Amino acid sequence: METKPDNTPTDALLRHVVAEDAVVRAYVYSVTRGHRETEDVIQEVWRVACQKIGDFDDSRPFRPWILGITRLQLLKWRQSQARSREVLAPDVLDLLAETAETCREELDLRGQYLRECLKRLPDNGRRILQMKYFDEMKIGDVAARLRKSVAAVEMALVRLRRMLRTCVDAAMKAAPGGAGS
Amino acid sequence: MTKDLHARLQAHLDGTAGAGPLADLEEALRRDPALRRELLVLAAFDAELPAALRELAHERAAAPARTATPGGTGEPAPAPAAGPVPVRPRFRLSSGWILWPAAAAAAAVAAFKILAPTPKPVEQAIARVEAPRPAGVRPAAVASPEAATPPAPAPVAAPFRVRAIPAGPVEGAEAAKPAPMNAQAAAADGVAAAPPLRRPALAARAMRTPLELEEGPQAAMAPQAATGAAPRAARAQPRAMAMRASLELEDSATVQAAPMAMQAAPMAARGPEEGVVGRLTAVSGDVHIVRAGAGRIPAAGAMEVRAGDVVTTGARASATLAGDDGVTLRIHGSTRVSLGRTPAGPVLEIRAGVVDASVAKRPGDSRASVRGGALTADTSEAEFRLVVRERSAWLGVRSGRVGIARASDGKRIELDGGAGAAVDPDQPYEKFDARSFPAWQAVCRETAGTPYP
Repeated sequence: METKPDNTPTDALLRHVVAEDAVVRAYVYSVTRGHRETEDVIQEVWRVACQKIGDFDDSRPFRPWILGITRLQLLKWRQSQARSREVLAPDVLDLLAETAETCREELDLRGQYLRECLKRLPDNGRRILQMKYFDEMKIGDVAARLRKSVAAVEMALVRLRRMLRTCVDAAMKAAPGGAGS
Repeated sequence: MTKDLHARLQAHLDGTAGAGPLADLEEALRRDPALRRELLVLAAFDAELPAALRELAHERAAAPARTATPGGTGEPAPAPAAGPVPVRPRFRLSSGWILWPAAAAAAAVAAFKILAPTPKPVEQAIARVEAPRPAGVRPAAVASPEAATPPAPAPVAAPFRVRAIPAGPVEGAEAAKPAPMNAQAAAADGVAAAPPLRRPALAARAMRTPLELEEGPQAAMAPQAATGAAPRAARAQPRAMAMRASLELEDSATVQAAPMAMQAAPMAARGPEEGVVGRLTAVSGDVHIVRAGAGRIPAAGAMEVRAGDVVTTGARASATLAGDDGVTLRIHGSTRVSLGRTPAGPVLEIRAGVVDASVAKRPGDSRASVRGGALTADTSEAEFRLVVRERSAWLGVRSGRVGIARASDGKRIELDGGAGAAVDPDQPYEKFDARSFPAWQAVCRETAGTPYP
C-alpha cells in the first residue's frame, strides 16, 4: 500500500489541524454559540483549507492563515443568520480573530486542565453537564427530566461552570510559568 | 474582569443576552482586548466540554476495575498491550464466605432503596438552589410576629387554632399556586378549612435536603471546605427537624396558623381607619384579600387594605397596591403579600411570588422597606423586582439604589440600577447583571411570565 510522503499538503494540514483546532474552535464557538453550528463552520473551514493549502506559503505562520479562512466562513455564516439580531458585528469578528492569534497555548492548556477538573466533579454535577453539553438537551428539558425548575437547573449550571473555571484557573496558576488569567 | 462583564459574556454564549445587551457587549469587546480574550476562553470552555465529557465517559468505561492483587496492593490491573479490555466477572463465587453477607447487605440496601423514595443524585447538585427554606431559620432580625415562632418542632396543637373557612371555587386556583413557604404562610392565606394539600414528595425532599447539601458539587470541588463539612452536617440536623415540623404543620388539617390575623386584632381594636396601610388601585383576575374576621374577600376595583390583610393573586391575576408610605407594588400572579404596620410605618412582606416595587422619593434619610423570604430590601427611592421562591429570594434593581439585608445573618449589600442578587440562607450572595443573567431571566419567566426588565 502506497503512503504519502510526510511533506504532502495533506499531511502538513493534518499537523496544523491538530495544533490549531482549539483556537479555531473557540473562535467559531464565540460567534456561533452552538455546538452544531460550530461543527458545521469548522467542517467548512477545513474543507476550504484543504482546497487552498497548496497556496499556503510554508515560510509564514499558519495560524493567521487559518484564522483568516475561519473569519470568512464566519462572515458567511453570519449572512445566513441575517434575521438574528444577536450575532456579533463583523468588526468584532476581526478583533476576535486578532486576539485568537495570541492565545493558543493558553487554550490548549486550559483544555487539558478542564479534563482533569471534570474528573473531580461529583457524578451528579457531571450528569447535569452531560445532559446540557453532550446530549444537547435544552435547559427546559433537563429541568423536566430532573423535575426541577428551569431556574434551578440554570443556577446549577452556573455554579458548576464557575467551579470548573475556578479549578482550571487554579491549575493554570500552579502550572510552571504561572500561565493563568 | 468584573463579575458583571463575566456574566454578560456568559449570557452571550448562552444565547440569553438579547439584542440590546449585545450592542453594549460589542462596544466593550471593541474597547477591551482582555474582554475578547476572556470571551475566547469561555467559548473554548463551552466548546471543549462535550469532547471532554465524551473522553471521560470512554475513559471510565475502559478503566480496568480495581481488584485485589495477590500482593494486596489494590493497584489497577495492567491493561493488555493491545486489544479490547477484557470484561471482568462481577462476582467470583470462589471468593469465599464473605460474599454471602455482602450480598445480603446489598439486597437489604436495594430493598430499602425501592421501598423508600430517595433523591436522584442530580437533585443533590441543585438542592441548594431549590430546597425549601426551613421555617425555623427566619432570624430575629425580621421583627414580625411570626419571628417568634420557635425553630424547633413546634407544638402541633398550637395556639394557632383558627376558624374554618368553607372551600370555594377559588381554592382550586389556590392549589395550583406554588407551595406556601411554611405553615405560617399557608395559614395566613386563610385556606384553613380546605383539605390539606398533601405533598409527600416535597416533604420527603425537604426533610432530606439539608443533610444532602453537603454532598453538592461545591463541597466536593473545594478540598479546603472538607474540613468544615462535619460541623455543617451537625448544624443541618436541627434544620432538618425544623423543616419536618414545618411541613407537618403545613399539612395538618387541624393546625392552620394565622399569625397575621393575630397581628390584625389590635389594629381592629384601634378602629378601621387606623389600620389602613394602603389601597388596591387596579385589579385584574382572581385577586383576594384575606382578612381576619371577614375571610376571603374578592378584590374588585379600588379597595382599602389594612394591617393584617393578605393579598393573594391567582395564577394569571395581577393587582396594584399603593401603600400609604409611597411604596407601590405591582403584584404579579400566584403571589401573596401580607400587610402589617409598625410604629415606623407600614410593613409589606412578599410571602411568595413576584412584585415590581416602586418607591417614590422619601423625605430626609427615611427609607421604605419591603420584606421577602430570605431578605429585606430598603431604599429611599428606587424601582425593583422582587421574586420570592420556596427557599431563595431574588431581587433586580431597575433604577435607584436598593439595600438588601439577608434575613439569615443580617449581612447587607447595596445594589444599583441594573444589578441583582440572589439570596439564599445557606449561600453567599449571588450578585448578577439583572439585564442578562440567565437564571434571573428564567426566574422571571417562570414566576412572572415575562423576562426582565
